[in-house]
This record gives sequence, C-alpha cells and structure tokens, in this order.
Amino acid sequence: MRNKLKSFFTTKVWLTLLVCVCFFFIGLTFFTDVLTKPLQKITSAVVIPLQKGVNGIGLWLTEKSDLLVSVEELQSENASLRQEIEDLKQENLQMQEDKVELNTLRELYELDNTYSDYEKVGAAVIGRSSDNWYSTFTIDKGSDDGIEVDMNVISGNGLVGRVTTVSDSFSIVTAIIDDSSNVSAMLLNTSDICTVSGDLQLADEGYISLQHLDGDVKISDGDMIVTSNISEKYLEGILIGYAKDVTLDSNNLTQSGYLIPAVDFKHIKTVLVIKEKKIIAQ
Amino acid sequence: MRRFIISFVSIILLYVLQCTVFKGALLIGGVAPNLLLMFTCIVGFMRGRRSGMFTGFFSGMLIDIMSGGMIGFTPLLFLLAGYFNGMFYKEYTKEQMLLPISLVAMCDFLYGFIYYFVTYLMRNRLNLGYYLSAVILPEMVYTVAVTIFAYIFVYYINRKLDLIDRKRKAKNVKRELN
Repeated sequence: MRNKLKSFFTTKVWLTLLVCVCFFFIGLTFFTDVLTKPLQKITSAVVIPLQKGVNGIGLWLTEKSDLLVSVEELQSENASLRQEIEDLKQENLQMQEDKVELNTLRELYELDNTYSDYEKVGAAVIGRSSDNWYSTFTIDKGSDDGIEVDMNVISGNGLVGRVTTVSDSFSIVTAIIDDSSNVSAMLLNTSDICTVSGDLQLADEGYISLQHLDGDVKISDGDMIVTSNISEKYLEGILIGYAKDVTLDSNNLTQSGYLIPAVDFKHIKTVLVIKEKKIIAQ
Repeated sequence: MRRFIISFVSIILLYVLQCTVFKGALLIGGVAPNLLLMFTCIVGFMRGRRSGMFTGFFSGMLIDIMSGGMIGFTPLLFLLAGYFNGMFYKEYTKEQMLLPISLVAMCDFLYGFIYYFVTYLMRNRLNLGYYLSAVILPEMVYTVAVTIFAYIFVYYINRKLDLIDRKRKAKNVKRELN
C-alpha cells in the first residue's frame, strides 16, 4: 500500500498538485480573506520576533557607529546648537503669545480637533516589503494594540500612509509613495482639491506626483499640500509635502506637477499611528 | 528530516534578512536582491526537481502571507522556477558555477518581467524601459552577485549533509550484515 502511494506521488503529480494549490489560494484570496488571517497568525509568530531581533541588532550597530563621530565635530555642533537654542527661545516666546491668540480664535471657531489632538500610538518599523516593486512597511504593533485597517500613519509632522493589513502582532503600512497609492489632497492656503499619487519612477527621485489641480489655481513652489476634507480614508489636514514644478497640462484644464514629501521615506524608523479613523457621514 | 528542517530555517532567515538588512543598510541603487528566489534555484539545481519545487512553494507562501495581499501568485512562480532548475540536476556533479549562476540570473529576470507584466502593466504603467533599467536588471545583477557567495555556502552544507547520510547508510548496512 505504502509503495503504491509512493509510486503514485511522482514529481509530476506533486507539481500538478502544488500548482492547483496555488490557483486555489489565488481564487480564494480574490474573494475572501478567511484563510489569510490564521495563516498570518502562524507565520508571524515565527517571523516577527526574528525580524524584531535583526532590526534591533541593526539599530544597535548604527548607534555604535554614531558614537565614533569625532569629538571636534561634536564640539562645533554643540556651539552652533547653543546659538540655535537662544534663537529658538526668542521665537518660542513669540509663539506662546501667538498660541494664546490661536486658542481664543479656535474656541471661537470650535475647531479644536486638529491632528495634534488625536490619540496616537508609536510603533517601530521592523521591515519593508521583500520585493522592489512596492513601498510597504511592517510595524511592530497589531490588533492587540488596537490598530485597525485604514488608520492613518504619520512620522514627524508628515503623512506616511495608512494601515492596509492587520494581524495580532504586526501590521502593514502602505506608504503614499507606493505605486498604487492615491490620496485626495488640498492646498493648505486655498483649499483647492488635487490628487497625490505614488509612482515608483518618481519615488526614486524623491517625489510624488500631484495631479488634477484646477487650471486656474495659483500655486507656487513650496506651497503646503495637506490631506483634503473629502478624502475617504485620510483625516483632514495632515501635511503631505510641498508642491514643486506644477504646470498647466496640455488639456488646459488641469495642472499637475511634483510634490516633495515631508517625510524621509528612506530613513524611516519609527512612526505614529493615529487611532482615530475618518468617519464619513452617510 | 534534517534537510527539511535546515531548508525551513534557511527560508525564514533569508526572508528576515531580505526585509531588514537588505532593504535597509545593504540596499544598493534602490534595489534589494531576491534571496528566496535565489535559494529556490540553488536548491532545485543541487537537489532536483522535487526539492526545488517544495522550497519554491514554501518561500513564495511566506512572502505572500506576510505581504498581506493576494496569496498564491509568488509561490506559483517560485515553484515553477524550482522545478525548472531541477531539470539541470544532472549537471550538478560537474562542479562548475557558471550554469547555476546563469540559471539564477535567468529566473530572476523572468520573475521580474512577469511580475511587472501582471502588477504594473495591468495598471497602465507602460514605461517598460525604465522599469527594466531601474528595477529588473539591477535586481538581477545584485542577486547574481549574492549567488556567487551563497552557492558556495549551500554547496558545503549540502556536501556535509551528504556525508552524514552516507555514514548512516553504511552503518545500517553493517547492522544488517551482522
């Protein structure tokens, strides 16, 4: 009996079987993700601790190499930083005065939920997509820490992307520079709507593409672009980046150009996940 | 069984290395090598069609499960690559490196090309020249460079395991004779 089984399972039979399994999975994941979640749970139990470990070693190494920076360099940097502190102190005083004014104005407008007030959770980037085609990050917080799909992710003061996959111990963030990403955005000062879409070709040069801006809108280099109020997935008013080289399209109706992202995507180490999701009035 | 465990651990280690070190500090020209495809090809070449096929299947499954998208496409391509490399198993004994390395190069190029075709061309990204020169070819070159080291490494591990197997077989024969 055993020999019979063995002679039945030739290499060609195995090949057919495995190809069928692949097609089964393609078909299944096309319609539903019932099997994805448990599979992710099992694999992540092995892979994620390892990834955290290797990532930790990498961080430790860079820390050590940073220590070797020469003392002279540090001294000159210290002097310039002291100078900067003095300047900033001055500036800060001015800002505080402004803030009082801002608060009173905000109270007047009842506009107290800018994104600095949202509840956020910090997460470390422990891995990136294994291929060269997509810009996704693996972060070390998952549904156990209250993360859900479609939560917005920021770093520093700029938009990184949104959570697209969640498992218990990790989640995957799709960056706005990803080739398949589209964000509805607007100009901060005039609230004109445009679309910011990632492009692999531009991402190499450090840009994202900006499209579908009305032809009659005046825009200059360095104008701030933030997430729009009509976006379905992104909270309003998160800084995306600064406009660059926006010109009128050949159709004379729309403008398009580039956008320099506010986040340095190459050296991203920690991110903040905003635990509030956009609720759209139906 | 021993081989199975070693392969399994290697796949996971290579995946972790690819996602962290090779996508971070060792990123050259914006691309990382495709370590798992390389491993699949080497195993297929050294151990035959069946081993290559299974290695490819599990590597691809790991990639697809952890990437959170559609599952099944990467394992399909990888297992075909493993099977294809296994067809050259007979040439393995000749102890030369040119054939496996050119096989890896070819598989990686084909994989990149098919991947572009399915995921990028279908979304109206028509600039094939750019994607060839910025992603597919650099990835191939980098993967080939890594293969030169990895091949020697896998070769020695495989030989060591072969020795252990042979010793055990000899022991069993002796026991039967006694």
